[in-house]
Amino acid sequence: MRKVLVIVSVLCVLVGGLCVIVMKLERPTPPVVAPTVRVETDEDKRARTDEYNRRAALALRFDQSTARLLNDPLDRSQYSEEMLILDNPASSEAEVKGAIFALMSSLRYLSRGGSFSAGLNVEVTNALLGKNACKVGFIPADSPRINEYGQLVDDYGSPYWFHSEGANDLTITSAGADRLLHTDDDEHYPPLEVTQQ
Amino acid sequence: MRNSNQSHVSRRRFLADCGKMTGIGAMSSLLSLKLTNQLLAQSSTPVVDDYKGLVCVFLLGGLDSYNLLLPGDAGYDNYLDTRGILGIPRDVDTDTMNLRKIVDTSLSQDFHVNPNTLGIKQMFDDGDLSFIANVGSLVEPTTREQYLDGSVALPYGLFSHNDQIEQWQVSYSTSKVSSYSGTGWAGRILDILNDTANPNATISPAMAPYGANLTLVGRTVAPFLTNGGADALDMYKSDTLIQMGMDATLEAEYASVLQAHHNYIRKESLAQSEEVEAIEQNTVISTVFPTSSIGKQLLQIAKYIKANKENVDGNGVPINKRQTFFAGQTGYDTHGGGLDVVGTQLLELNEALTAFNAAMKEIGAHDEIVTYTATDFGRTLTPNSAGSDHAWGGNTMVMGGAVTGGRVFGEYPEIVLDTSTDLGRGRQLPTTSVDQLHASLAHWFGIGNNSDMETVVPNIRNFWSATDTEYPIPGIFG
Repeated sequence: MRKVLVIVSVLCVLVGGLCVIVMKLERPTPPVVAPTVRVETDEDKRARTDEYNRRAALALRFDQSTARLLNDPLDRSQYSEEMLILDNPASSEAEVKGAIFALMSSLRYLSRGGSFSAGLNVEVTNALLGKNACKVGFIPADSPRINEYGQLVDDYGSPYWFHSEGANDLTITSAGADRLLHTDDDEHYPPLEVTQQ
Repeated sequence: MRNSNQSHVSRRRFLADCGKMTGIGAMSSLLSLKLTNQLLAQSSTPVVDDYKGLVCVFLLGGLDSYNLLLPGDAGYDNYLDTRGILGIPRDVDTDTMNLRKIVDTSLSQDFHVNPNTLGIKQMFDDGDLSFIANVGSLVEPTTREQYLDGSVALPYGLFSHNDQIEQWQVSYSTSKVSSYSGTGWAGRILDILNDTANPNATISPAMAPYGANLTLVGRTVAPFLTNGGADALDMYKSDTLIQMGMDATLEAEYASVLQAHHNYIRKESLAQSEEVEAIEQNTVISTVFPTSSIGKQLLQIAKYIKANKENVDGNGVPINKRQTFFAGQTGYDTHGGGLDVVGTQLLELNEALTAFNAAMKEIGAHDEIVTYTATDFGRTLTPNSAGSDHAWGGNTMVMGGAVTGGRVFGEYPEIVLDTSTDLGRGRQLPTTSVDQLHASLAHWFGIGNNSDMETVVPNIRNFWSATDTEYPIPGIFG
């Protein structure tokens, strides 16, 4: 009887040990790749980005009508060639981006010590509207190119994307017909083949 | 040919001359009264009797660092809502989720790390690494209201890569052109410490395997740029004709002072290259490093540190007592590519930092070397179509035996929109300045809280009083 008890005890210990080993072997190994990304349709993306841009713009937009500017941006008689391009609904997309770039270049030298404005679309638009050190409005708040949230928009109504590598560098990108940035139909100014040279 | 009786210019003198050559353009600023006063008010020469090294790992492009250090359980749902397609989903079960959970016990607060940075998590748990939350360039402490109404001085070139990189490297955000332009904060540290710390240096105490950077550039100290390895000088060594031709130009005597000095620099560059190449070839590190670019750079740095530690004085302290290093990893400007791009980059970084930490333990330098990460800026919390855009404050890491490990310093923001630090699209207004980070590192490295610190981090008095005895980031070092 005692022998049986000893054998059973030894067997219990062995089985217990085996269980511990198996449990250790089955412990989950650390994941080394990112988990699956949430899936969104293009329509979801458009709705989401519109909402983010709208919220940010509402919080940050500049009110040109109450600002004390040194000029009257609504006085069309004083418009530069670039401002006329922006004011004309018939201007092509490339012409508009070129005009914005030229106006930002003027602003850069006039009030920013040679640096391009950077940040979200609404902040760049604010700078052109008159939120700048020289208190000059470069575009009117009622420009057909500015949407209801105070953002400069492309032909399809998407806010331009302003990307600054540095003070001397700026790329203006429009999302194109699909209204999604970073897709094949994006249009850049200056064109990428120029900036990549 | 040069007469052997002519006065010999030492390598040490060469190192200083290199710095002077690069700083000629800024010399006129020395005439400014302000700087002259600063020089007159310079503190006594710091005493340096131990060895320390400082390693900068620059993550170029702007790391999406709120996907490196994520909220704990309580804030995770908000994080997922805010980050949308860029949110790292909860893991399938609690056990797996806990594998990437870290706890700052002093705050009784939990966080998560990216699933590709489990080595970093382990170092945090082991007390070898800490995070600093929401760090960014600032001229002075700034609130959201001040940012919006323009009532505070802001860093120049916010949200632009080159300007923000410059500010992380120079540690001066007030203006692009100043008496500090062209020098880096770590370079200015060695300007102050080099005379006492490295009087017998035969190669530059500032080594940059990544290549060109401002961080290590001083007025009297120029970094040695190895760009992935010292130039092998193969053609010079293997082709007799080239060697003879080169030697002839090197040994020639030049009437022009500028030509003569340029020739002298070329000769010393050759000598330094040979010495660095020998270190790289002959120094053995047993720890296995990854073969990524950042892995190779950190392996090089580990070799420089080991070789230096083996070159000791009578007290067993390395002859060169202060060294600075610069490594870099590109690819963080993730406007597109979703989670995968950042994850891949962080996986490489994780492996390289883990290996470097192990190597420092292997060679007995773990308590003497502090490594920190820097990056252009943080990124928007909300995604664009497929990635994130330029923002401001972000999370950084400090690593090493001297660091108080297992902590999340600073103020980790709530990952939701419309908070007191949200400047639109989740761009975080920094709550800890780059200057506070640099001043903390500089203070550990041997710079006193005096006029020396104001030379290294010019705006530091906006964040740290001259009478303060605690580090600018309290508790970061024990």
